[in-house]
Amino acid sequence: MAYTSDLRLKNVLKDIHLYVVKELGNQGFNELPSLRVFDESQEDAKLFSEGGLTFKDPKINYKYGSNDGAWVYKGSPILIVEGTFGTERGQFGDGQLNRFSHSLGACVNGHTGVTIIPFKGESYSKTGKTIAGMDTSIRIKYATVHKGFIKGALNSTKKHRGNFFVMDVYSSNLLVNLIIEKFKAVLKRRNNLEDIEKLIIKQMEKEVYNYEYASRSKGIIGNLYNNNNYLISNFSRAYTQNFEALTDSSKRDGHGLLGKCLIESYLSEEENYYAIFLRMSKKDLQNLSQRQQKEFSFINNSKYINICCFDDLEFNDKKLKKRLEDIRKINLFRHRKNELLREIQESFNEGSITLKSH
Amino acid sequence: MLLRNTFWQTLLMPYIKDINSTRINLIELIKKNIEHKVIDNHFLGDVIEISPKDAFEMSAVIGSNYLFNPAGYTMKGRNETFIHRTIFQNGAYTYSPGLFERDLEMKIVSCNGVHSVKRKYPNLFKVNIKLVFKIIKRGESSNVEEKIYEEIINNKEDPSSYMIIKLFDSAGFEPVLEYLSFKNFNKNSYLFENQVPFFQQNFEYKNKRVSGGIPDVCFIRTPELNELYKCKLAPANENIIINSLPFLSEFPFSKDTDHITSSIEDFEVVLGEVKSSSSSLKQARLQMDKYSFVEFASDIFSFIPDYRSNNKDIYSSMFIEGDNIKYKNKYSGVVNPDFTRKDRVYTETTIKMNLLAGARFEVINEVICCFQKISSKEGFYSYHLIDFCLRNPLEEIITILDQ
Repeated sequence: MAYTSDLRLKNVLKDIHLYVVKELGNQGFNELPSLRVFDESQEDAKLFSEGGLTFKDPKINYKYGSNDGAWVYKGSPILIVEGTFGTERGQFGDGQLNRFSHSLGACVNGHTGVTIIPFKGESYSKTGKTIAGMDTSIRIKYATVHKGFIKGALNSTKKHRGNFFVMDVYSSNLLVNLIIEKFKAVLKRRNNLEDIEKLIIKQMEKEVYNYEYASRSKGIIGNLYNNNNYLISNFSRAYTQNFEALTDSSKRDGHGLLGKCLIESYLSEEENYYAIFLRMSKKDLQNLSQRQQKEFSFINNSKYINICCFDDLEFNDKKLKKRLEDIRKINLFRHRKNELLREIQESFNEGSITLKSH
Repeated sequence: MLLRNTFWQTLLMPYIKDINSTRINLIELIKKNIEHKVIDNHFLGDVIEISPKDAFEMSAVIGSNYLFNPAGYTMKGRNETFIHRTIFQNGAYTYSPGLFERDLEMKIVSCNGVHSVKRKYPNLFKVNIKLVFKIIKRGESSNVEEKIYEEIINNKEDPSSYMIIKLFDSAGFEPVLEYLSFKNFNKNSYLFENQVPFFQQNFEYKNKRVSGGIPDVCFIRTPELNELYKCKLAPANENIIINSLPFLSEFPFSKDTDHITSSIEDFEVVLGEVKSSSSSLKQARLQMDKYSFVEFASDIFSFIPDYRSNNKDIYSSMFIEGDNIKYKNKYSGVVNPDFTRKDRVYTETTIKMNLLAGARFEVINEVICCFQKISSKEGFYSYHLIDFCLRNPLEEIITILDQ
């Protein structure tokens, strides 16, 4: 077994628990919260109510991603934590979004979910930059927390009863204080929970100040029209996953799709958000539904996400339609089609690709 | 004597099979491989007393939790330095915090060496440890530390002298087998690790892009270990685990250890793939094929209790026969000498990093900042640390431990 973020993260949670217990003891508390953390990730995947670390959507009954640990008092959650050291291990971009659903599950169910991650990490890489005066075998690429993740978390907190906080894993003092004050609030003792929560929100807002989500993305559609030339959405996305990407075990692209889709459904705020699967047909979508593909079923049943596919689109330019049809089966990681995708994005925004009215 | 349990006994206990498909009680197998004293009629059930050294090694390899606190504390996963080996990354060091910890500004602020851990847990190497065998049945929660911690307090004992080893009756026992491979690998003077930095994807070799997987165990013999024997920091007549390097100044090696033996001349790496049962033999072979393809290890073996290499096999095997763990040497693969040369430098750097973590952090800060000509008040970054280890000989690093 190699080193994983998971093992290191669970050790961090145990070390934090030590500080929590010590501090509450110093403050004269006899009753203390427990830390729920497991050796094996199979146990994380059990529902919280059944002793695990996972939540399901109360309306559509689908499970969100599992968390790494939780502080618990008399069986009820005080705080649920998901963590990653991805920014120190070469996770530079959208890969981070895969984890969005984990803390979201706690938030949707009225609890406090916290994702901890190094906000800035040194990811050492063979393609990184050397540092003046240092040995040339030392090459670094700096990675930062995905601001879209933080923005999505802020919007989730506004929308639901619970909280979705994103904290720097190296701000462990703040996390210790949050657990302690939340515990006091649960016991209905005098506490500073409101101040701590405001401070965390303020830090998150500071991180995303002036940030515009996906400003350079080839998938975001700023103006989506229906075939009656009626503007139906100012914030939607054209997805390039094909049927194989969600069903072939070697590709396993479902996690990425779910994370991005969930985040964007929160970032769209009051807008209707459309997830347009450019490389899938109606039949593909039906097959995914029938196979109960986990992530697809989740987004397909979400009331915040409207799903449509190639067959739902009307093209003014038939050649463009054919060019898109022709790339349905190819591997886009190996054979990039950036120019075509950019052209499709422009066509959506101009209204020359529209959504058929039903 | 290893017990052959009755049907009812084995039904309640995790077991493995030997090459005769005989059920073997895992608890008895562990007991056979460590010196221990049985504590009769203990309120926690099956409990034995073991040395601080065995406890440290079990915690570091298996992940067993000391009960220094209600959540438990394991030595496993606390000395990460590099994620991959340099030979698979175009010579680049893919560093990660772990052994050395950073702050918000990415400066190195502490290390998980002997001084830091002993500050939190002063009795780490002072007292014998009571090892509790806890069987986790199917569907049962493994989050048992706090309950056992409280039970020990209720019985008016000190939990900090306890450790739990969890045995899952519905899951594999690979970490326990990894520990047993460390205890039984038939040669001395090997450095052992079971969190092997390797590579998973995209290594181009012989015009082929390959994925590597991660070996379960790795034994390394390198001439750099001679320096540890010479300075009496480690004994030459036993294998040591890499996790012990930051603790060497106080590591409780057995009294009869022999510090000086003939010196190690050549660099050698042995890789092992561990599976609980021969039903996973196919996966083990697939993994070993990957390790073999990259021409890096002088020996590659499987440790599957009920599988011994046959005449057609190209890989060596560790296996259980009756009461004993045995080894059959079969592998005679090619080793790329360029890899050997480069991996020796990588291994030396890793050893230096681990040894350095055994010094007081204030000393490390002073020494590195002085070497890099930066203010010790400002502190240093991870690249200063790696550069320091690359540019200073092992002997120099060892002198820092005495400061």
